Amino acid sequence: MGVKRWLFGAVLLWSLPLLGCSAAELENRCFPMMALVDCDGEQVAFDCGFPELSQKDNTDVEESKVDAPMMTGETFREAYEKYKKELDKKADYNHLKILVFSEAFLQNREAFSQTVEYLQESGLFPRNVYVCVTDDVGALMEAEKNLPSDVGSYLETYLQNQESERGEELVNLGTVLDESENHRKTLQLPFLAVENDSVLWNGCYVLTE
Amino acid sequence: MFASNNKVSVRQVYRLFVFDLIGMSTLVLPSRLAFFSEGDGLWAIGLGGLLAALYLLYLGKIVVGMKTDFAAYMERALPAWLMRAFLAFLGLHAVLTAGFGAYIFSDVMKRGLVPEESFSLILFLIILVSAYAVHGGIESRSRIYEVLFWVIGIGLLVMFVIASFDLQWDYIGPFFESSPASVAKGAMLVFFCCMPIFAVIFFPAYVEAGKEKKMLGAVFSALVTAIAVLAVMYFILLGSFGGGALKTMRYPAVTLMSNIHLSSSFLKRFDAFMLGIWFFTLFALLNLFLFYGTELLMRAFMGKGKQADKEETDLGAGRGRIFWLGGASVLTFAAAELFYLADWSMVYLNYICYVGMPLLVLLPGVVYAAGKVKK
Repeated sequence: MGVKRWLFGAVLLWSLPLLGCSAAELENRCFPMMALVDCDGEQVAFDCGFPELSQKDNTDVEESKVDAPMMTGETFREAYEKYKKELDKKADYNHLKILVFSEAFLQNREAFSQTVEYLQESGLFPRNVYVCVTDDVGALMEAEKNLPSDVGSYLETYLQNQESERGEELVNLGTVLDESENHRKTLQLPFLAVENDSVLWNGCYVLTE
Repeated sequence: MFASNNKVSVRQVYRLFVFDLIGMSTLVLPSRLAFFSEGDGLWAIGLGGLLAALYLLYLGKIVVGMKTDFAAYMERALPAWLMRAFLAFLGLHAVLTAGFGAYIFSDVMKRGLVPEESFSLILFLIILVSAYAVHGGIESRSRIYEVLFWVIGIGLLVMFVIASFDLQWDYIGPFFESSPASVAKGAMLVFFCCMPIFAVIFFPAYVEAGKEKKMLGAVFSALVTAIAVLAVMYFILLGSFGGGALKTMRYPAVTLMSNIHLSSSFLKRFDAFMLGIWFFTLFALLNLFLFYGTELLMRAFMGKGKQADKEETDLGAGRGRIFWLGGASVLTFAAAELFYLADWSMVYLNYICYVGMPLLVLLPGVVYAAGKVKK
């Protein structure tokens, strides 16, 4: 019996290190808090917002910074793949808080349908991220300079506070994906506007068929 | 701690069967039921549960009439070659079902927890641990699940309560719009997921003599519990996702937890935490079929009345049993790899519908009748 237990333990111990072989280490990952999808003519554009890590979280602040430009493609998938190549770290979307679509993108129904289909199949973003709309994604990214934290984290807290005050329900990505199959409800997405260097929930965008 | 007599209590029988029944059904069934009948999936669950209850009643009559377990009865009732053929079929069926359970188990763990890892490695480790658990014998397994029962039960309850706050009443239904054929297909799938109750005909060997009727009562209670859990789960999934989205999902119960947005950073990966429910329930299912696969193949190929290391039956130890356990584990691994690589799920489901289920329904009755005639 003792020999068997030893053998079993040895096999388990041998196997355990193999579990870490293909995982990316923490310093090789980045954690987007916000994803932005825009439309420039016929091209779909994709970009992300990342948190600024303070000195106390990361000893090498320069190394932790993520700098990748907005990338465009014929489809969301193409734009996302190009963006992925621009990043020098692996993006971990498990902490994503906000997904922002531009109004121009939502008006391009084909691009939006393809994006929804891709997000459903790939499971790229968590289903519980809040979905919002804006008319100017550039202004939203610029507004970060005046905010106490990164735009994604700020917007999550802001929207949750506003949700209870306004009595309106936030929409998450799971609901958007489900509605693309169910076709039973009309979704009203929070419309974000940048006014006087601050981001405001300024009405709703009605997502129609 | 254990009586070391390879016997389990009636309460342990109930808890073992609850685990065996809810793992696969709550994970895989909801999307299939939505595919066939959306809102009417609830009636399919009720009808499938009724079919399973009738099946259990039929098996119960046989168990009481046999006055022993099914394997021992076959030895008395059938010629040796026929007994071996039936045992071999049942053993291979158990191994194939273990392989399917292992494939689902590994797939859920890979998709939900460790997407970057190798499926084969996850599968290998799961089967290794399962083989170790089976090697410990039924007594140790049932004691572990006896302890885990309320841990899992409370976890499920927490999940239902949290999910119920986000129910969309617009998504419930429509009702009475599906054809009877669609509802019947859904009912057959529910019945398929309740097929582990077939193991009740082997259980008289593991309960105290004279407690067969109580054991059958425990299995019936387990069936009712499992059907109730499935019905509540389906209702919540329907209300959370809607029938249209539900039928496109692979494991909607796991997706349900990733939908929850808890404020603050507390429990960011709540879905990963709740995956523990299916870890243990699928583990129980895999153990059940690996156990019977080993026992039945061993009996089939070692001949009438023979068991490897008979003096070691109390804890399932013994060199012969380890050999057969290893063989069954290898076959289970191979089957699971085929399900994953060659996408044999439809082949398996067709086998179950046209061969497996009919034989598992007819075989006990045929053997029982043969035994009565022989007398």
